[in-house]
Amino acid sequence: MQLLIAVINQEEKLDEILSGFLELGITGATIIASEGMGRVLSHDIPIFAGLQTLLARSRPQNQTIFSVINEDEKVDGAIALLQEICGNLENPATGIAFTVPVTRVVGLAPELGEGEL
Amino acid sequence: MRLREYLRPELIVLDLEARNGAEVIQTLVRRMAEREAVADPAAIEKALLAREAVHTTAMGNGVAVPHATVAGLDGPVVMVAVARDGVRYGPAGLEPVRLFFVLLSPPDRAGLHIKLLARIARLVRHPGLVERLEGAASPDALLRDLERIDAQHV
Repeated sequence: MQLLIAVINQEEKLDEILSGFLELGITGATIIASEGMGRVLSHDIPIFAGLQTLLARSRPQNQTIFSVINEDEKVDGAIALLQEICGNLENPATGIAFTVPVTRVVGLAPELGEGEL
Repeated sequence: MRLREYLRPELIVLDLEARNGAEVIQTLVRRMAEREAVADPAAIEKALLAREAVHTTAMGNGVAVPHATVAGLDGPVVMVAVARDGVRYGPAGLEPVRLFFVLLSPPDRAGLHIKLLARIARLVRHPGLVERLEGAASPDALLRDLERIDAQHV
């Protein structure tokens, strides 16, 4: 079981990503509106104001997705999906995704059932 | 999740003509029944119209995905229909719909229904999909195009 954390700089891609998660059987995630370090530095700290090096790597706002995923195969699928939709995350200003192992979880939503809609 | 597993050439319609949403649903359900894909067209038409009454399934990009769960099906049924002249579907102001994906599932396959909806919703964002499918010369050609696009996505 892993916790996937993905910061997505292209906010407009979020619904496509979550739709793809559903396809993969990932039925739960928490999404938080967030802001990158470059943006904060260049806007809020006067000494860094307007520095293009920092601004070029940032967007006004990004979205951070947290999802506890119970199968490694789904994690691989999710990371592939993120890169299909957002482009190679190694490229600047696209985002970042990483996972950490989860040793205990309470309250994880089950896989989509086959009952009534 | 691959859509191609649920696509059948006899459920591809290239010549849909209708004046409004109700006619679209009536025509497509009748075609499904003619191809023996469904047994109770009246119930299906009612279920699809009920779903549209909740919220339109037109996505605003020339695509609509009428869908419902209905009893009596063995598994999901997917129909793809092209209306080259476009049909006014859903609220005024939306782009006319030229491509319909109709999805029906048995009530006890809600999970699969949602996954298929999600797959369709993602595939229809593929750049140029509508133009490519409406240019298909035959149901088999449309299927091949759609399968190629399906295979390009995770």
